[in-house]
Amino acid sequence: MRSSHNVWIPSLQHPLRFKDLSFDQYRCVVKVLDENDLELISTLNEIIHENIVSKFDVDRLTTLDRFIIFLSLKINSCGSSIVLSRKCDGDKCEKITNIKMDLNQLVDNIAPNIDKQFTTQLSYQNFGVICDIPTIKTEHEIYMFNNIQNVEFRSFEFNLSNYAFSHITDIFIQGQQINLNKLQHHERLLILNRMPAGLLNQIQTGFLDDIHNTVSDIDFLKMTCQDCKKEFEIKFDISNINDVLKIIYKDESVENLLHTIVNVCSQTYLGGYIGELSPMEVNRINKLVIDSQKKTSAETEQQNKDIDLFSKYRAETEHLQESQSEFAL
Amino acid sequence: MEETNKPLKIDEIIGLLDKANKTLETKVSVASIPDKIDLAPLNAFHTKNIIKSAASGLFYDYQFTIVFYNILKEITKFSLDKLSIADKAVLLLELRSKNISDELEVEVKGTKKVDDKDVTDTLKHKVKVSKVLSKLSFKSDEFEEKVVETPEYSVVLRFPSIKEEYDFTDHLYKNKIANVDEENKVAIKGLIAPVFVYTLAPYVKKLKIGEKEISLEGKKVDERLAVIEKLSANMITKIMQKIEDTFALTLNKISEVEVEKDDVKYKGFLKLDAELFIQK
Repeated sequence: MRSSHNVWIPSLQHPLRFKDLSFDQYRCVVKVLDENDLELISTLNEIIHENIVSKFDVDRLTTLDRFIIFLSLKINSCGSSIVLSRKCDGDKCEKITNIKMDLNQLVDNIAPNIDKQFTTQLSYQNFGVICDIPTIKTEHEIYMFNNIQNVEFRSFEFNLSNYAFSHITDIFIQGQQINLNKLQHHERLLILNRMPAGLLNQIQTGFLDDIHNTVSDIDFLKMTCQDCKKEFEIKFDISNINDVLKIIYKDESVENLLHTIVNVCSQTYLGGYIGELSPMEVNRINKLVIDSQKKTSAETEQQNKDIDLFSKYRAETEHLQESQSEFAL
Repeated sequence: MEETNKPLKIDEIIGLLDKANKTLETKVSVASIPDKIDLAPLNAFHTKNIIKSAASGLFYDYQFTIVFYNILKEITKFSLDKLSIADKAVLLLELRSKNISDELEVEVKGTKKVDDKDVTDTLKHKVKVSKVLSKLSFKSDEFEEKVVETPEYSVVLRFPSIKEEYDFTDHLYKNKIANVDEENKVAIKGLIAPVFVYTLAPYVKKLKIGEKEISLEGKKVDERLAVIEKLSANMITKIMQKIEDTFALTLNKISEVEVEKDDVKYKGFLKLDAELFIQK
């Protein structure tokens, strides 16, 4: 049975327990990092469903909660230290720069700004809305709907139609509260498209601008090319947290882990169970295997030295003259 | 706010929304007619379409004209045949003031003396749109017919209606602009002449040759364009001049902003396009 750990959930302001990421799950995440956004979020959501230990409806988690969960899973399952590489895109410079990052430091940097509930109630004339970070369920429905409509993810059309709307959870019309999360996505669109423009404006200035400003000063990544000194930085933004996750999971440890797996599978009988272990556990086993290999090699060498009587005899008799054989003619 | 537990069906929710939106209707004054007209609020779908038109490339102005016409059809029952493009300019400002924000930033320019030399100075000035609207006043003769004569024939000009502007823009877009590659400078240059004709044509309402008077209103766009293309260069020049001396002045009056700072008079114009609904 895999280890589990508590993860503090910002939207709930209390922890939930999750099993560590298994190697198979880690491999699934790495596989979808270069796929489209729908594949990525579907995989991440599925892993949350599989790994949650606490009794909780995971569909209520927000996209920010999911980011924190996967950040925590990476730290607890693979270790907090990651090495990121980047090829410089400066003029005629293609130098590869490596940077070591401690994910615990990232948590310390962003926690003060995002460890809170973002739920906000706004009103305009006889309308009102409750805004929040989108739930993973809402996000998934939006992507599925747009996938069917053949709208390119991250396109202007996609963002224009969905970004603001995805942050609205409830709408009040003349005192009547309508929970949009209980409706199908196309029904949500029918309602939200009829919302007065003034209310949409309020949502932009009274909620969306605020959450962007909350994290606008945080640098996620800052690198300087060793050759041309060109600087590269990625700012942390609520709207790009999936991209930040991709960078975190696509670090240099992926390749090392694959070598580790091959070594462990070839040296042990754990081949069939490796998938269930977390990457950190696999690394520990690999270390044991390597240590064991070194020990065995040293013992064998010693053993070989002990039974080599001939070299000992040769050394003792080297100085003696050879006597003629009695049978010589 | 109250919360009720009764789950509403989607039709009921939409009915409730439409009823609530109706309470946001306002009566606004326009330029050419003394009556006030009822205007429903802009909704999120309208705003999205306006933003999409602004992002549609080099010809975003034409896209905005088409989008805004369709929005006006939804938010007012008043016939868009009877409202002129001057009324449209006023409606744009009213919608900005009531749906987005009453404050708007505009760039104004003035000439000031620096070391005895005249230097152009540019300022960013925040105006209250409602104040701009309250200062507007129009004379009835601004919307009357204007006659332009040459020895051979004469034409009668009047402000294009919002519907006419839409018809001509839609025709221009579909027939000339839609397939033009924006990167192709030669193709873009080739649009100058047709755009010129499409701009003048909606103003020309009647053609008088001797005793015969031909009304162009109600005719198809193709037919009206064909007439304009046959007019002499002399007549075209006179039409352009008349538009500049009369109709353009009325339109400029609506969007003009004047401000005085440190004894320097600054002047600018509000951009009456999609930017009005995007700018904070």
